[in-house]
Amino acid sequence: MSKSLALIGNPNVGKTVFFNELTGETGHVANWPGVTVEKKIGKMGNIEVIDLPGVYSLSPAAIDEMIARNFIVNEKPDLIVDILDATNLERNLYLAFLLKELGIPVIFILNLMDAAEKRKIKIDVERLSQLLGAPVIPTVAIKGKGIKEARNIIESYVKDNKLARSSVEIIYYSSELEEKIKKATEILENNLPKFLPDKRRWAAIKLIENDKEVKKEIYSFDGGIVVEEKIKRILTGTEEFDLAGERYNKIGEIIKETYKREKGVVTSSDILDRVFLNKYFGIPIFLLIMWGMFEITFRASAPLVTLVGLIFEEWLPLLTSGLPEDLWLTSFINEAIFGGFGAVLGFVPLIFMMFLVLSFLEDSGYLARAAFNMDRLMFKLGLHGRSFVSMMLGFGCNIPAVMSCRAIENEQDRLTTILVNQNISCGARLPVYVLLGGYVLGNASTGTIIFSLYALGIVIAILLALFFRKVVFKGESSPFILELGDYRMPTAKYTGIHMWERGREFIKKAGTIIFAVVVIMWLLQSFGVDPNTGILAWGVDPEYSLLAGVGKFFQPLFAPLKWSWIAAIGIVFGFLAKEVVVAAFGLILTGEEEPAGLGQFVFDNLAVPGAVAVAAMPALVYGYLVFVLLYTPCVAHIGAVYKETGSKKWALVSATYGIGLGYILALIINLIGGVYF
Amino acid sequence: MNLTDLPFNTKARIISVEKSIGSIVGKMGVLPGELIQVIRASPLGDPLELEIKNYNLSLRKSECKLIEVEIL
Repeated sequence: MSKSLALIGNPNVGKTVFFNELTGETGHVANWPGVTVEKKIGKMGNIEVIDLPGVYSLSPAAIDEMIARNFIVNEKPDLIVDILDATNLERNLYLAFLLKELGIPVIFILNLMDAAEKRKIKIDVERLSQLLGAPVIPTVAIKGKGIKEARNIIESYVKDNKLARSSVEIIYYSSELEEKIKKATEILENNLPKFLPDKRRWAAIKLIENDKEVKKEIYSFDGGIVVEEKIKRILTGTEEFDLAGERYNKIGEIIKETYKREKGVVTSSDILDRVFLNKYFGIPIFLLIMWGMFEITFRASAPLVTLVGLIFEEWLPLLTSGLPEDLWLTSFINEAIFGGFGAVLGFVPLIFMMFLVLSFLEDSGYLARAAFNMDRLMFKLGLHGRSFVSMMLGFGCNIPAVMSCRAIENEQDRLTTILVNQNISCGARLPVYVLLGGYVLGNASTGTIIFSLYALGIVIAILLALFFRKVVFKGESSPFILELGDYRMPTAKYTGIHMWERGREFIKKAGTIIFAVVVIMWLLQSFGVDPNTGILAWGVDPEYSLLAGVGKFFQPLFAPLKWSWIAAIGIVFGFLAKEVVVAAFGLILTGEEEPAGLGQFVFDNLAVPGAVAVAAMPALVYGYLVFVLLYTPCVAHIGAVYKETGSKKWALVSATYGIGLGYILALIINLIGGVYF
Repeated sequence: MNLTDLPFNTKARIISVEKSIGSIVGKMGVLPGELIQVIRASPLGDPLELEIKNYNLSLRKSECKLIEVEIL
């Protein structure tokens, strides 16, 4: 059996970077679709390395903490590597103590040594290692420093099982607490002899600490509640503090001996915070950064978007120009690949740029500041500062955004944040806006229109959050506890990796579901019922293709909105994934002779022919875009909501409320815009 | 006095932490006896940024009210 090694540590200690360095980036994010988002798995030689979510303790408050805790307690990895932040050693050692208490072999990585140096912090690593009774390896993971040493030590420990027995060392508390621990251990032994017999002391301490997970575990035994009652009787109620306090006292002694910090050192982080968190400038700078994020995304990606467009629309078709036109293969390549799939790939640069900017903000440490700046507002809206971070991620893709809600401790906050996130416009919807945004108020104001859609999504998310929180999920909000760690200059390498890990999902999706949908759409487009013979045949007039049939079948639903069957096709297939909306249009266009371009073609055919005055078309287009913004993001999103809420009801609510909302808003916009006059 | 009454950048010692938030802030090192100071408030007035155990932590005023301190 291969050996396993788990990486654990407080949030934001460079754990993932260390993981990548250790496994030589062979690791893969076990991520959506289909697989769990919770852990990253990689290989170091033949040792399996698991990267767990960051935690402050082993008494979980939020779901991501629970995942890490359950893995450590139940899966029993051969070795735990605890990564410590050298700039914040004292608090980081708290988790170290909890791990030692659990009696699992653990070794320590002292990361961020460069930041510690900048803060004029000196650490006696050798002494620290003696006091912790385990190896401590100093590293600067992001620069690859100390990784080789870490790898050697880890390998030798895993191979020789060196720590299996030796480091299981009991941490003793004051005699008062020890008395209670002893009693609780006896209660467990007498009443639940089968419960964690080799970890009875640990379980007793956890029960004294009121640990919800261990409590849950004893409830599954007969007599669990009796045990809880009996233990409660020996407690005075201050034990939670007493235990934490005594652990911190012991840590304090270690710190005193090993850790020296020059006083009054002002770091660049402190200076940046004076600006970014400034009473007067903090919010304007935040808004400026948000605006800049979109500007950079669009401007920097524009040349590449044009280039990919040229490749698929102009250059690649030259290759097939020699093929006979009536061959099905020619049609497949030209229409499905270049026209349909090409329309999706055309937006890859845009989406990657969005991911790059998001990754940069996330890796720099600014997102935590944004949460700090926005928490008050979010709180007033019934949300949480952390909800804000998940909303930011939604601009990339709503699925990881929904999953990121695991970090929200309060269940009501979490459900609310999950359910409103879909209104944050994801990267996949952007192509539709870009395609049609110019037809609302003219090309010059495409940017304004797109921005207004994003803003509308945010406003709706906020209003819905208020509704959900005040009406559906009533109850107290959870405390806002956020560490404001040092800013870090994101390195090109890791921001790149981060961007790629996100972008890869999009490419994967493009290569699988989107490609499949495009092929199906192409087949539907290629076959049709000949109006003269009534026979299903290849290559009939696009007007009579099966694809058109699907559009015409659903069109009556959108008749009150005056949308054509072509508009309906975009909506129907967009339900599967928003990326295919433009692909669907691209396919229909290749069946037509239309030199003016895809946007113009869709604009010309969006309304029921002859039913809408030219002057009212901008309103109709805008209403369509609003519907695209608000209705079900994609099939995978429904799955993610189901998985995260564990409830068919909420998955159904999430999948449908946007359709109703979008429909009503499109109607209102049509009314105001004069579509019905 | 509680933590919200403490002037910015003034060193204080925690006297007590209300039990209801104890398990959440305790693991972060917010414990009776610890030294603490308030660095700043968020631009919108809430939450507060605190310094404890040589690191910076942000807590809402509603939680800070439950933490009693004395100025050193």
